[in-house]
Amino acid sequence: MLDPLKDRDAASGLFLFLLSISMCIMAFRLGLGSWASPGPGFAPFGIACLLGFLSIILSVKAMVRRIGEKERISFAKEKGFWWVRPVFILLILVGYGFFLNLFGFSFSNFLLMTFLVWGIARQGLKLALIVSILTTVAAYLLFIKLLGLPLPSGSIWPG
Amino acid sequence: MEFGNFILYGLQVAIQPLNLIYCFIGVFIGTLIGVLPGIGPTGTLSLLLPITFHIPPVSAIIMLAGIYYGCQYGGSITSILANIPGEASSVITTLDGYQMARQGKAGLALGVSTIGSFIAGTIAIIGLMFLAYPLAKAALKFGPPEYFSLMCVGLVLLTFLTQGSMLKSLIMALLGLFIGLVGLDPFTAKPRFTFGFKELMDGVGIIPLVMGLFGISEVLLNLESEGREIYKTETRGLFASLKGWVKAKWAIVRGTIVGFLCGILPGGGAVLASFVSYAVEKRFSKHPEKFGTGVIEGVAAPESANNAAAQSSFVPLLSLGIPPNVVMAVLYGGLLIHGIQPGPFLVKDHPDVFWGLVASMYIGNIMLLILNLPLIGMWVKILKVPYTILFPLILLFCLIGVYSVNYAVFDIYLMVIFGCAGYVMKKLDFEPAPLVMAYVLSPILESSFRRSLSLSGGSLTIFFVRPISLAGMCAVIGLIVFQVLSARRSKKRKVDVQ
Repeated sequence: MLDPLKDRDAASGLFLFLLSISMCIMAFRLGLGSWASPGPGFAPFGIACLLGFLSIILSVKAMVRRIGEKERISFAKEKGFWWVRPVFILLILVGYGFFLNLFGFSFSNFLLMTFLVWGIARQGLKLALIVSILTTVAAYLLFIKLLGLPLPSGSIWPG
Repeated sequence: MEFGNFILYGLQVAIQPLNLIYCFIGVFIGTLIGVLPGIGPTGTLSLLLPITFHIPPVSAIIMLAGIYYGCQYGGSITSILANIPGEASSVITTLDGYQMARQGKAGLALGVSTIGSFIAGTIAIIGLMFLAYPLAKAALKFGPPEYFSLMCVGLVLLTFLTQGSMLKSLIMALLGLFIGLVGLDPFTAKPRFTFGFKELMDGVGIIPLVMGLFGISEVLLNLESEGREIYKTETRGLFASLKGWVKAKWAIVRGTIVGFLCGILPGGGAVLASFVSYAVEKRFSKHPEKFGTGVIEGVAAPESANNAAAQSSFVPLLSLGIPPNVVMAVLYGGLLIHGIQPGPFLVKDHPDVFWGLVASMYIGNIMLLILNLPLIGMWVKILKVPYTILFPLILLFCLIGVYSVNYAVFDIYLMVIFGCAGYVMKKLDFEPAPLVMAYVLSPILESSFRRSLSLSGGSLTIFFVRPISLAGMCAVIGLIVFQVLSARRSKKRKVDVQ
């Protein structure tokens, strides 16, 4: 019984193979040069070819494995909405980057900590606010006052 | 005589008040990180790299090195008292250390581990001092083919020694090599794989890469696991059992030797050292069956070995400019950011960095001894800080750290991408360590390769006609063949059993 698409190694091998093909094309466009005078695409092309070769081996090895063995997709072992927290954390981090210049360093830190402690770590709002205020003040003192880093003060605040 | 002068000069640098303070900060943070499971030396070094931009290079390197070897001390505390290895290099200590704690011998285990670590660390520094300097002198004669083959050995050895599939490790190394080539081509100044982003012209920064792969992804993974419990036991009586100390004596010596050798090995390091020394100790023991039930040798050997390895890992980094493991790769990046090129010229061009760092290690080890023995109770209390409070702080540090390198939001996005990639990689059993190491070596590897080919007029035989290069290439081929053969053999054995 073979079901390669359900196998994580086969799937990752396939992804890596496609990646290696795109890497090969990009490297080829850069110019390979010659053996005596290698061009900018020479080494990346070689690396991409090797990657493609190894990803094929990975996929083939996974495909010949029978399903039901321990190599089954690991994500399937997780229960329920296990992915929610990681996805939310990553979104919060992207949001921090997005709003950093707008809200400024300190307010962004405060929002970040509140979201993480209250929303992700599921602590009480009171504790979340205390932790957020303390870390915001500490970060301000350490990074701005002590180390003198020119961190953004925000574009929506006056002055 | 010349050697003695260098050591004195190093001590002069290391005992500068500023350097002493940074050494203390380094070993303190190192112990703290070692105690806290969930964040390792690699993540911490990358987290603190941006902060070091504002301090003098020598102090910065002394602090960063202190974090690494300090980690090895702290890791044993959690392994013994909580059965949770604070560090990967302390995993093996849990086997006997925790059993000893359950038998009421936690004090002895902690005492032997700390003193053993101190002895091993100190001996390894002496070894580092005597080996790195002549090796750096010899390395001045190395050309591009020698560098290329030595780096290939390092990469293949790392993929060979990484836990899990060698195939996957090789894939990771290739991805790392590719990422390391992003940016302007050093020979033609042509942009490569920048996709129009001017932020990528200088290449992918080491800090977003390492913080993403080790910091962010570790937080995401740790949030999936349950909380930890500390085994309540007596931590007094560190020197109570003389019999225990006598038993541990030779284990410390053997652990030190094994650890020192494993640390120098390209691809080796503290993790490998602890596992190998445990296996060696078991083989030397008259009662190997008792290992895992709480024998002192099972604590003394790996703890001495990981400390010796942490110090000896600096030998290839400082003398050849080749980082033997991922922590050293991050440190290599740190040195480069400070405008210091690790390698044979380091001793000549920056003697303050080289000798100051070596001398600071002696001082750091003494500081660690003082920090660890009387303050064990305090470290145990720190273990009780809930991860729900710790992880937002780690994330905040990652964000500030990565942003403050170039004051670019782009770096934050890059870190998030690598964090996501690192999380998926770990879920799929792909180790990120070979990727980071290959990423660091990639620019030197490529330029050595291209220079070698230019020198030989395009002939690959240049790698096989020079003795050192030939030895390196033979080692690479031998390792790959060995791995393929042993995989086939184990597969055949499985079929036979079925």
